[in-house]
Amino acid sequence: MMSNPRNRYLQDPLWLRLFFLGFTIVIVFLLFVLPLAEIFSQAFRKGVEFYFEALRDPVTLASVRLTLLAAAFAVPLNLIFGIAAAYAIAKFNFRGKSILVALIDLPFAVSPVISGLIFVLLFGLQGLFGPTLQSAGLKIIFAVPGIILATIFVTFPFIARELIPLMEEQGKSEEEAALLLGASPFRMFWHVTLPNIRWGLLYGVILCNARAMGEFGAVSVVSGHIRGETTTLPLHVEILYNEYNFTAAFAVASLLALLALVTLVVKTLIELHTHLASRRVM
Amino acid sequence: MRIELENITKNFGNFRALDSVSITVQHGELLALLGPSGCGKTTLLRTIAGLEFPDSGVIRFDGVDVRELSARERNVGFVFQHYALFRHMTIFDNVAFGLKVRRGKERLSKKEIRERVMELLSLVQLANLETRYPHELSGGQRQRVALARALAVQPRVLLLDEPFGALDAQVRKELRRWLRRLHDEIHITSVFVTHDQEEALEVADRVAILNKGKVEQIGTPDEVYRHPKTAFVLQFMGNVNLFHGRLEGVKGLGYVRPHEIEIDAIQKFPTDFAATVEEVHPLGRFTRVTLLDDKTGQLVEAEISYETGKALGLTAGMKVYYRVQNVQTFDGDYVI
Repeated sequence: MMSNPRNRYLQDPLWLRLFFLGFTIVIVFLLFVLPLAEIFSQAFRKGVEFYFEALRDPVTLASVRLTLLAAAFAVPLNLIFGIAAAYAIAKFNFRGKSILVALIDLPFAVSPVISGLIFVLLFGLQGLFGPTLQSAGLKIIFAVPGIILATIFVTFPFIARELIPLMEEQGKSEEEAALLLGASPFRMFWHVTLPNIRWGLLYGVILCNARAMGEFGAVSVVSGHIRGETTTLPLHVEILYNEYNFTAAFAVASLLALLALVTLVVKTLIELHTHLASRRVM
Repeated sequence: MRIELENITKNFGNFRALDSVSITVQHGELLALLGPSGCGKTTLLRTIAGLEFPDSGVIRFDGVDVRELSARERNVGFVFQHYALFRHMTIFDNVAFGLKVRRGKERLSKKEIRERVMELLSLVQLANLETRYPHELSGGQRQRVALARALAVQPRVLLLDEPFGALDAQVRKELRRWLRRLHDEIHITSVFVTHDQEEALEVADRVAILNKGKVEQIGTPDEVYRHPKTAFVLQFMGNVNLFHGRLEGVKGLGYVRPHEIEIDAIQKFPTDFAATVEEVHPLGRFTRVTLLDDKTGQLVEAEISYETGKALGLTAGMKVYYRVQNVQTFDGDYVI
């Protein structure tokens, strides 16, 4: 670098580069690495045995099941919705397209607490559909359906947001080519559209899943905190913590932290793959 | 197959992309749709393919109305401007796609598909590349894969959207000669879109010139070049100088091509115009000279042979005389 004297004038001074780099590393360490390490050290404070015992607790297991159930509804539904919305937005022209895009982003813009309150206002006892639901014997708020609905709502944009720019960039001529060659719309989608978006789709699914399992605010409002019935993992962590059961709280929290780490690794691998692929294409 | 387009009109919102266009493409003909960008030529091609549907007008394939048929059912081969090859499939799978998606009686066996694909790949001179992916090929090779893929389903008509647009000059020239030879071999009714008049003149049997959604003229390359029917066609087919009623026997506008202007060091005829040389550009076998008319101050562009230019010893600022050898008007008919 220094061998070419002209380069020196184009570069920031060494101290500035070191300052920016050092500042970033310190912040990342203080805010992310240290707390993450602390979760695991607290979780194992009373030994490995206590850690696994805390995880085997029936209430904890129930919350794991509920979290998996909520994600099992939210991810596939948002997968279908995300593909449909992205396809419509990227490949068709229609009036009000920008309004639709803005609406898809709504869950990102709204506080999760408000997202939860929306459902209470709609399906709660005093809500819009409350009396009808009650007479039909259906319970949504403070029950599992409410948790699933809230989870779907907050994870709504992830997959669509990932696919829209990708599909827009790819255009629709490959699809048109498939139709002109005699493919049915289904075969066109299966053999052309889907393979072209598979990495973006996987990326969106991973992020959607992470959020579905980690969501706290919206789910907290509609949950009612009935132990072992309507508590998801994040809610269960809060309950344990409030009961001064710190070691168990951190043990359960470590599950969520592990999920985050796995998500991060998969996400990085996908990014690496698409980066290499894009370098090959052009 | 014969394609008849009758009074095709297509609007995109307030924009009229096609304005009652009527063209007939004869069986086995190679027709060029030529025009500037935004003239509607691509929209017309997509309308024939069934990718766009006209607001009014009739499309007939061999006398049969195909307006109700979707792109899938029309059996047309289409080559996209940027080829639109399936990026995640090998060259073999790209070409085989149309054969593999067939159902029922029309479906070929694996062996038959393989034979047909290899036959097509050797037709487009890419026989050894069947296991490659599109991104591993050059632009010209991708172009030929797109053509082979379109031909694989034995289409009734071949449509090409700016087939050479994304290629560099040398490859362009080779490929268009190759396309012309290929067409002479397989004689499939073909329509191709281009904005390059040289390309249209070289490759096509007939040329349809479009402007603002309307057909200006249809004819053989020679007809549209030598006998343009409108000022637009004349101007689009090459550079032209405008003379406002200054030429003998011409009222109103007279159009003169650069190569129809002769330059001399001395005045030979009383009608010769005096001018000053502005710029001299030797461009290979001819030299482009920009003249400034002494009387009107108008710039006149002339193209003379390199030898003539050299013999005259043209340099900027030199006083010369020029005369017009041929002029065209659209107020009346030919003059001179």
